[in-house]
Amino acid sequence: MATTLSTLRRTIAQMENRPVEFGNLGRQANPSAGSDPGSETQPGSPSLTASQHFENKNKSSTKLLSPLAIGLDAIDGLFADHGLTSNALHEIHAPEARSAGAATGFLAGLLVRLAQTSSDRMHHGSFGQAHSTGASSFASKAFGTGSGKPMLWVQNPTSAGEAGRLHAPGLFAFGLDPQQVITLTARSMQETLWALEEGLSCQGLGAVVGDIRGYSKALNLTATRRLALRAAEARVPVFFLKTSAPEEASAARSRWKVTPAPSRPLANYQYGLGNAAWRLELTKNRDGPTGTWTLEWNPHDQFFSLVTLPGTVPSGIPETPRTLVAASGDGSSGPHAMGTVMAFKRAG
Amino acid sequence: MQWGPSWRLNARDDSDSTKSNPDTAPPRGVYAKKNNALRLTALDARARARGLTVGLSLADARARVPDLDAVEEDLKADCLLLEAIADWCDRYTPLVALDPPDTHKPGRKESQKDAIRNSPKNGDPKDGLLLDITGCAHLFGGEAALLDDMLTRLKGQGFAARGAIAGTMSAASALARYGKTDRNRPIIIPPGQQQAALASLPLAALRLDTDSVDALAQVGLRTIADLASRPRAPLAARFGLGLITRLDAALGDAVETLSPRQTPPALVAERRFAEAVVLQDTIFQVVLSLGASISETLSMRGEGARLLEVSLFRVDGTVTRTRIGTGRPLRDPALILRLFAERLKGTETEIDAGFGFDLIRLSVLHNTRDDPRQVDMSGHQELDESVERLIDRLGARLGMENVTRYLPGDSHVPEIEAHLVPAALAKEAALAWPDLSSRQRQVPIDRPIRFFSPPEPIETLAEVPDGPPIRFRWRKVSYDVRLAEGPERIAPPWWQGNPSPTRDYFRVEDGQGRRFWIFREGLYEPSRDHVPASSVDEASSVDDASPTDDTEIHPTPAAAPSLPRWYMQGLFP
Repeated sequence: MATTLSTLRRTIAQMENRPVEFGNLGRQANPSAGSDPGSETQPGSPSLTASQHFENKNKSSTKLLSPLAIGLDAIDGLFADHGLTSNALHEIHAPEARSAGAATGFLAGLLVRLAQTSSDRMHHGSFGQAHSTGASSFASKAFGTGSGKPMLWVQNPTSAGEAGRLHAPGLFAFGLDPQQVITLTARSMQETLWALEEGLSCQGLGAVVGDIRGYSKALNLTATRRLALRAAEARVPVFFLKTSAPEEASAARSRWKVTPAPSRPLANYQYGLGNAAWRLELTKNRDGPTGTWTLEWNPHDQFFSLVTLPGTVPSGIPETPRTLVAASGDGSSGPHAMGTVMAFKRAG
Repeated sequence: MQWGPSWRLNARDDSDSTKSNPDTAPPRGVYAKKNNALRLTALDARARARGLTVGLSLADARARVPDLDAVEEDLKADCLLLEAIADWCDRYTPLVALDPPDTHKPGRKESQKDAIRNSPKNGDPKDGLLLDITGCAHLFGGEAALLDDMLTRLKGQGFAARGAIAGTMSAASALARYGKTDRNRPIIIPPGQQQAALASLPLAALRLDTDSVDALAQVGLRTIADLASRPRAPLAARFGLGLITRLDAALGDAVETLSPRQTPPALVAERRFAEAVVLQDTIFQVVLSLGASISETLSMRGEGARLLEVSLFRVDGTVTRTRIGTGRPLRDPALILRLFAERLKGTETEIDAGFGFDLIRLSVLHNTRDDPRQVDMSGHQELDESVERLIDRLGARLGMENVTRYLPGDSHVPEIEAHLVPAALAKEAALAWPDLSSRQRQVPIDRPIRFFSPPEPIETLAEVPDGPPIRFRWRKVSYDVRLAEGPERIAPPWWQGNPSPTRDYFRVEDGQGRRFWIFREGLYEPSRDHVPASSVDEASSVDDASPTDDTEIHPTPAAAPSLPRWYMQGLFP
């Protein structure tokens, strides 16, 4: 009965040209939960309902927007669009500053995938195959040589010092064209948010990245919600790359926790370091399920692959037994003042 | 060409004394230390009326006039005030210079300050302004009207000023200081009549030093007329060529050039208000309409602005200048206004309107050709333009130097493999990295994705002489190296005479998969007797050392620069 119903729903959705909701999961579609199953949203709040409506209205237009697929069915299948929603906010977390390299690597991989997706779209666009090569060569002449659009990378002030600054030769070796990257160093969290929003208002960008270190009061649910709505409107993804910060409530559509994983020796190069590998934890997914994987990036052919590593720590047990203290962006984590401050009269 | 006016101002005749009742206010004077004694250097009219003279010692003056309000001379503050007035004089002509002219390199503020500091030795401190009003007077209804307007406004601001207009700079300067002034008849000397006008002035008006003036007085030469009528050769032989040059300059026989404080803008649009404007919205509206008029001229010339300045002249003489730089030539008034508004937000300066602005000016300081771009069918042109405009907006608010792109550097030194250059100034062709697909990509990735600059020192346990690290401690946490690759030796550019030591880079991975790029600076040299003995011994015992025990690692002594030191340079993905 259930399967017949879901098949019927899928057929109707296809006829109505709507995105199929959870069809690929084979899960029973629940209309109320299916529209917005986010665990952190409160359906009672009127402002959120209004924005949900906005998002749903926008969702209907996402059918033209190809999702940002990781390229692995095991992960892509967890999302309603079969991949990350291209016009939404996604968070990539490195709980420690020393894992910043891993988190940046995963994000760079996503950005490479995004560029690939957009160039695919260009090739299969309305111009047809014959004209599209001409169009893409025009694009490459105009801004950058790569296939994708330029991206804005906003670093907040402490990020560069603690987690290192973005290194262009490293990006280049990874497979991301540094020419496409516009970097910006903001002086405060407010400016970072402003710059991200400004970046979203520009239709020429392919992606906007906020490279943020530590906890900040300014980066609350309202601010992230605002960015997420802007992203939906601009149809450009926003990524938060957060290091040394706790996981907080935000309007992100997905949240990934990235920690480094031991690399496997390469087939033709036994003695050295292998490909970049990460333990990836999807801790939040607005479309439902979460999961943990170990992923590898092949820089030569530019794709993610799943690996099973012998001897890796099973998920759920933290690798470092210490409690991680988040760096505070605005000094709010400092110790409380001891006693009360008294004013004394000047002696003499 | 006409020069002038030049100002004699007593900076301390400020609004304080005009506010208080002039009859009861105490006489004021300025003193400074000269020849080891405190002497009066400037006096106001009341003090002079009570019999005080410049050069009198302060003690004597206090004895004669007990209620003398004396303040110490502050040449730096005087100079700043004079510069502020010079900024304000910008409303009459873009060519404004301080008087006496700089003998040092003009333009830079430091050199002006130097000039001020040295000036007590060289001659007079700067106390006047020179304005080249060629072609400007008609905008104000003639020379007399301009001079009158200027003196009235300065008086309104609380300054006692004197002015003169003449055909040469020196003549105007001399007349403003020593000429007879009359309220109804301002000193305006038509070109060619300097000699007659200057004839009766004392020689000090030529800005000669006091020794020369005294020496000339001894031989009976007291006025400019005396000097002009003498044969020149003996004068030059006796008093030096400087005297003749000064005289020629004043009489118009030698050419003097004015070096303006600011480069004259390429285009200016301004609006004056009878009633001062206060509201920010009004100011924005005015900037918008000024932008429209500038835009018209620019598009006629086929040019666009790269550097713009919005100047707000406040009624009380303060001038606020806001500069906007753009990456792409700009003409659209709406964009100009938007960048201006962003700039104000970025510097977190509220427009302090005070009693309002009576002049708002928009000037183009730098302009370039702006040919219309060819439009292609794909619509990419608009996209690129939108990115360039975004860079301008971000730059206006956060500073152009903070919006950057990567310029590939032609070097193997990791720090300069890529430069961060302002996105607005970078040329697209220069930013191109070698083609990704054609490059033999190294597998695995050989450069870190996050980079520490400067590198962070770490404490390392490594095999001598050039083995990879076995354990290291970075940011107070120790790491056991599971895999290591290297060394990749990167030598400094020795052909440039760079004396820094060689670096050996290692790519290492710890047990949990963290990948680091660390390097050893310098080489272990066996001839040295302080080869770290610990390194070899500990290397063999590291296997039985418990991984949580950090004390095994001997820190590389930072005090000994001859030893190789280890650094953390970056994090791999």
